[in-house]
Amino acid sequence: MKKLFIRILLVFSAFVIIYLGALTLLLILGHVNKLPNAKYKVGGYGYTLLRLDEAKKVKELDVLILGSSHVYRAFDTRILEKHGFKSFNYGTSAQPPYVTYFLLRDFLKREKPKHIVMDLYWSMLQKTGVEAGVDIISNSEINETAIDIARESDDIMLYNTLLISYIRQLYKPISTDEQKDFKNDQYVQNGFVESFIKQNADDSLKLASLKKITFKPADIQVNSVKKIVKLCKENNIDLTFVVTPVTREKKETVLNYNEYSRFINQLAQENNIRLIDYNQRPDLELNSQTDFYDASHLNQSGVVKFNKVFINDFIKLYNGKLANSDK
Amino acid sequence: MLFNSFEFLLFFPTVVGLYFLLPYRFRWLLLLVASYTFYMFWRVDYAIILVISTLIDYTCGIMMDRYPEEERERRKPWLWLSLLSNLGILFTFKYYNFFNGAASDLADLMGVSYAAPAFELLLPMGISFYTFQTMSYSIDVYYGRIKAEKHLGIFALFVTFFPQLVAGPIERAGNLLGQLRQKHDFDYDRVTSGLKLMAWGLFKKVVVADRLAPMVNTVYNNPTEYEGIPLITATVFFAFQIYCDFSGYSDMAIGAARVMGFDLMENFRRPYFSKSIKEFWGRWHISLSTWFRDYLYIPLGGNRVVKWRWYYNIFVVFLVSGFWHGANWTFLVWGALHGIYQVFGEVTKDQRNGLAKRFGLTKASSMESILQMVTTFTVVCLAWVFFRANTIGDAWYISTHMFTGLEESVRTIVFNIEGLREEWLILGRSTIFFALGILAIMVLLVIDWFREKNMNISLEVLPSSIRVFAYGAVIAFILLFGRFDETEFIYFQF
Repeated sequence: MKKLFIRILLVFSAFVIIYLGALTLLLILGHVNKLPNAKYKVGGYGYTLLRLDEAKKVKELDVLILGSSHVYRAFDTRILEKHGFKSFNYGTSAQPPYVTYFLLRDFLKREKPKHIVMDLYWSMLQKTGVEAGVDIISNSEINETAIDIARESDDIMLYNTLLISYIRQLYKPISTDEQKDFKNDQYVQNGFVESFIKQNADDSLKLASLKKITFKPADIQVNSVKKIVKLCKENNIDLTFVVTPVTREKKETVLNYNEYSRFINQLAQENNIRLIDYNQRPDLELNSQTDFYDASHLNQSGVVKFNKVFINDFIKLYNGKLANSDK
Repeated sequence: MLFNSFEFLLFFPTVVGLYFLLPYRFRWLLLLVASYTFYMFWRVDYAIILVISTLIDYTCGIMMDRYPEEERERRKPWLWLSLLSNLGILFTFKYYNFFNGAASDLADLMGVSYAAPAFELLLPMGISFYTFQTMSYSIDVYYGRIKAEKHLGIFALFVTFFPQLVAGPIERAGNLLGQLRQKHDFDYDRVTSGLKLMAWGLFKKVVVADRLAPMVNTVYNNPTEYEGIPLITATVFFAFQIYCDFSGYSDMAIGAARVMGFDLMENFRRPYFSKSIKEFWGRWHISLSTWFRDYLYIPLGGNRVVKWRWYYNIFVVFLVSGFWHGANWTFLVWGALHGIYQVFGEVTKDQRNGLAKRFGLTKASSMESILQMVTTFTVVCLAWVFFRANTIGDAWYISTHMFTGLEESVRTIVFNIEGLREEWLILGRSTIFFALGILAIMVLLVIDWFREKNMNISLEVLPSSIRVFAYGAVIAFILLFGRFDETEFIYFQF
């Protein structure tokens, strides 16, 4: 048996050398993304590199906004600031609640906002979160959060991203990386990304033929939402759940939207959190062609309309809370 | 628990380590606990079905053994009890809804009202495998081929032995029961041979089968959006997906058992090198095909009957085999097709041999062999269409549109390189994903070909220091190119 153990140890050592060697070589040659089980995207679409860097410096925050690209393209921090709320948009590409939890846990070590607004987009509640994990790990230093994100997802791709990121940061620190520019987008301070596209790229035919889905939440995401609620309560932070608006056609792709709606309402009620679903607000009139740049994301025209309604809601909630605290 | 899961990576070395460290008399208990743990990782409550099945067959075996072989009539009620309870479990969980649906459709057709409720039961993992294994035990005891197992623990282990519990090979009591009583000492060569077989099985599953699966699913879940080359490509990919998925599982099962000193039966012998459908069934899912041969085909009379009856026996066996795979018309048609292939092969045997002679193919034996292999693979693929399609309607569409639109596809490939890329992307993945699928199939075929020709391609020929790096490279390759999202094995559903 001793011979077997030695043999296994030798094979394992050879494997580690070959594995790390292959990743390093492919990284240097710029071909690492061609591996089916490895993804590494630094400074890419979504502006996570800038956002994560800026998040480290934010101080005296009123509102922290969390969620996917729906969020960082919808909540305009400039509009909130005009109304007296200092906010930071901490949305990142395809961010599901399990990633949100680790980002928030890390954020709260430095800064405690008064309010948190968290998006509960159906797709994020049923995703595994690999895409978001790759985005965060690639664009941040290798720290406890990055390791926890990889470990929680238990996906080989995230472990590989973690290794690649670690190897790369040995010779090129993340602080020296630069964000790429994208012609139709602009990163605005405090996490918001403004889109310059005025007309929806998806025509009515494409919108009408979007893939239908049935909402089915994933345990990992539901449990993470509960952990986020607990974290907010422990830190005495006021939490609000929202569903950011999408085109009517996109909403209709969810065959069981009522079930989804019931599910998130129950999740909010059980935890005594308020919930606003902006896909079910008749006073928010959004045009699929002129207020969105694709089926899911608002353009600036839509952002202005949406933020007007959101700010009204938020001020009411905020004043209500102030009134309650005065009593 | 899946063989390709992180849990198994911890579970298996722990069980093997304890197995060799424990005194011999406690090993059966360890394996029994491990086997139930393995099963209950999937679902705890369904282990009760295993317990019920074990207790019934154990009792029936003991009761049959009380009567001498000459008094078979007195054994019969216990055999019936065993068969009916196993088939009853199988019917309840697997076939009730199918028959209920068929009865409802028939009633609708006749204008009669029919309202029996459907069961919303999850099919217990591996139910078709372990019920067939225990039924073969009861039949063998009945015919006096084996003695009934007196030790309930050993018998329970025979039913649940974790390497082959959920997807076979379907073992015979004559082979496995005796081994469960033997003392297996640690044997370095045996352990490393088992580990290598497990690694090869893992390669087939995560690098080949799971890489091909998304492309197959894209086409087969929306077949009407395709015609011509994508339908052919997806069907050929499925042929390799199912082979690697199932034979990969069998390799891992046989390898895991071998590590602990047990020899399980061979389940696949490079089936796509078969030169006839008959040969294909001698190489594909051997433990099931020999089960049907021994417990259905021969009792029906086999080939020792008049010709028409022989053909009937063949057809019935394949029809039942199709139904074993799933309670769906698609599996029935798949089984029926193989039955027709076999009967057609027997009926036309002389004519085909005559034709081969006439065209001089028998002189060029390698040419004849290649032609036979290609023909066999083609008809097997045509049958796979029904096996994989979600409905009979989809299968019919695919079968009738595989060879249409080819001219347009060829024109695109020849004259338009962007079009070629689209042809590839049409399977729902990137060019590199598609190319990896093709590469994986080629690696598999080359290795299988060497084995078929009994050529030694083992890494054992390399010097020890290089061999260590070669094994390390194989593991690295599997981790970098395999898919590890814990996709279940196709045959778990059966």
